[in-house]
Amino acid sequence: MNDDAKDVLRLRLYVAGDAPNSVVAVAHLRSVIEECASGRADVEIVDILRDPERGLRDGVFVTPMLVKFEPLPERRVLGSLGDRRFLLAVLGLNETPGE
Amino acid sequence: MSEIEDLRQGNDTLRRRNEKLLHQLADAQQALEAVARGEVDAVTDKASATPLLVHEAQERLRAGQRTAQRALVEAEERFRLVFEGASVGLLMVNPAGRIVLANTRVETMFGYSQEEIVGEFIETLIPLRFRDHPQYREGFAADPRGRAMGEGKDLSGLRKDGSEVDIEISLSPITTSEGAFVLGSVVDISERKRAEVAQQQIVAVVEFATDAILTRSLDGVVRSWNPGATSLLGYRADEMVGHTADRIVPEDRIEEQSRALAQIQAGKQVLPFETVRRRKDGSLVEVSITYSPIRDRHDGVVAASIIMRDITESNRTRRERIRLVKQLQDLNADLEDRVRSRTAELSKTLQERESLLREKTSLLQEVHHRVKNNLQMISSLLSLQARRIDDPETRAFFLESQGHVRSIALLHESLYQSKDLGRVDMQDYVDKLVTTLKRTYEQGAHIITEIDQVRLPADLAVPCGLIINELITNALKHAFAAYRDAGENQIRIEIRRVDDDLELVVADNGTGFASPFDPARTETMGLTLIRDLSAQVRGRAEFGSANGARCTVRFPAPEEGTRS
Repeated sequence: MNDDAKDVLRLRLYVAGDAPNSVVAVAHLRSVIEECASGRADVEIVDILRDPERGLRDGVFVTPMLVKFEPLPERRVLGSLGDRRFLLAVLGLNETPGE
Repeated sequence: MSEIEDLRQGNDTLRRRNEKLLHQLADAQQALEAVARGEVDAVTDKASATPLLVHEAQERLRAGQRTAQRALVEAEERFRLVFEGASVGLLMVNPAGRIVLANTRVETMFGYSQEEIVGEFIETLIPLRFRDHPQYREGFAADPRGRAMGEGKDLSGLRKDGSEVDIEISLSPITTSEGAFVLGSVVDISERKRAEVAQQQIVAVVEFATDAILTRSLDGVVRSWNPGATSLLGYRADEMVGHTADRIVPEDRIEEQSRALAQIQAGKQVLPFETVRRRKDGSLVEVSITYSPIRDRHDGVVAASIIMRDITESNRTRRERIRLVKQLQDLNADLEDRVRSRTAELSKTLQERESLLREKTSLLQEVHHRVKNNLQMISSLLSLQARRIDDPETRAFFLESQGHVRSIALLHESLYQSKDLGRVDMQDYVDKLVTTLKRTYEQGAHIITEIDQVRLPADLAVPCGLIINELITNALKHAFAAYRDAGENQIRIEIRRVDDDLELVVADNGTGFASPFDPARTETMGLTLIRDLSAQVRGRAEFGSANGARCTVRFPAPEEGTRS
């Protein structure tokens, strides 16, 4: 399990330009990654206003939307990612990464 | 071995699938909550691949709502302006028949304020006799289309103060989510009604006027022609209306007519003047004519009204009247002259008569005065003579004669003193006589006179006076016994009216006539005299002897009035 936890997180956050929820979502994600998965997360941020096709290809119709591609299973979280506990659970992270 | 492995693998597969489903469920749950919290920024439309920003859409929606709100307020304001500013009264009635809106026109028309009338039933504004209205309203609801209410009948509105106002109402249905409302527009037609009545009156006046009344427009074309014009000039209305009126103007009057029409065109009235017009049969008729300008609503003169009256008859009458008046004046002057000269004559005659009368009066007075003086002188002579005679019988004769003369003298005195020289007031005369007799005889007696208001002419007064003189002299000489106290002696003299006669009575309470006494046979001087005198007044003397002597002379009363 711990090894799994050490696996690289491949994440993609779809945002709608600098719309309010999108900005907040980016901030929340950034803080969680920095605090709990520093160095083992590959995070891509896609602006669907600039590239709507990418969202459609990934089946994302509503933004902001965080998709965890790896490790499996794929998970999707909608909104501004304010529920930190839920986010950690989805990402398979613990609160204290230093241990 | 492999079976177990297969089972384990199958089990793992199921577990992973279950786990995956649980994750998906959790993600879906979370997504719903996020949507509910409004944490969605954009939604991408699959077909157009266009992301739609949620907050922008919301913004647009809010802006749209604000615009709609503003439009609504503006629409309401516009409606209010139209409703209030309408030139007719507007009433909105709800399906229950209550007024929900009324504009200021309704206020002034019916006298209610908007606050008072809103909420009332529409029937409040309708007089009792028109209140079949609820049925009408239901009928309208069943077949709601715009129409005039009470078509063909005069509608009245009931004002707050109970008075009525002539109105016309038209109704329009307004279907709303709350049911069928009715918008009524009300027009105050009192002014129009009055105008109609006035119009009808004018038409009737023109129609029945015996004067000819016509109108002609400024180009000279006849526009109206009343029956009076037909009977005056012979042309029917259809012969004249639409044609020029020149036919009725004789050549020598065209100039005059042009002047009058120019006046009218300048907006001035032309005072009635007398002129001549030509009838259809060519004959001329004398008329008095009046031109008046007819103006349109902008005060411009558009036509002339012409009123003509036949004055042939009145001219003839006037000439006849003038002739008659002249004749009358002449007659009157003549009569006055005659009256004046006759009056002068009469007043002259009257003056002469008056002076004659005055002369006669003074003459009569003079005569009576002189007669009285002469008689008095005779009386004095007789008295003087008697005193010289020693024979008592002869002396008594003289004294008796003196009494007669004196009583006639007294009568003349009364005559010239009376206002009416022809008649003697008997009361006055008898009083004088009694006074004189009392002075003559020693024998005293109480003499009572009871005399009606009687005035006798001299020819009756003289015999009466002599009768009284004789009877009283007799009574004083013979009636009373010497032993009696003079105070008991009484003589009554009465003259009274009995029917158409006069009755003279002299009575005493003395011894009465000597018994047996038959006056008819007695030939004493005194009684003979009395009978003769009674005959002179066409009367009869009667004598009686109960309780003293009594003589009654009854004779016809003279006619009243002056006698010369």
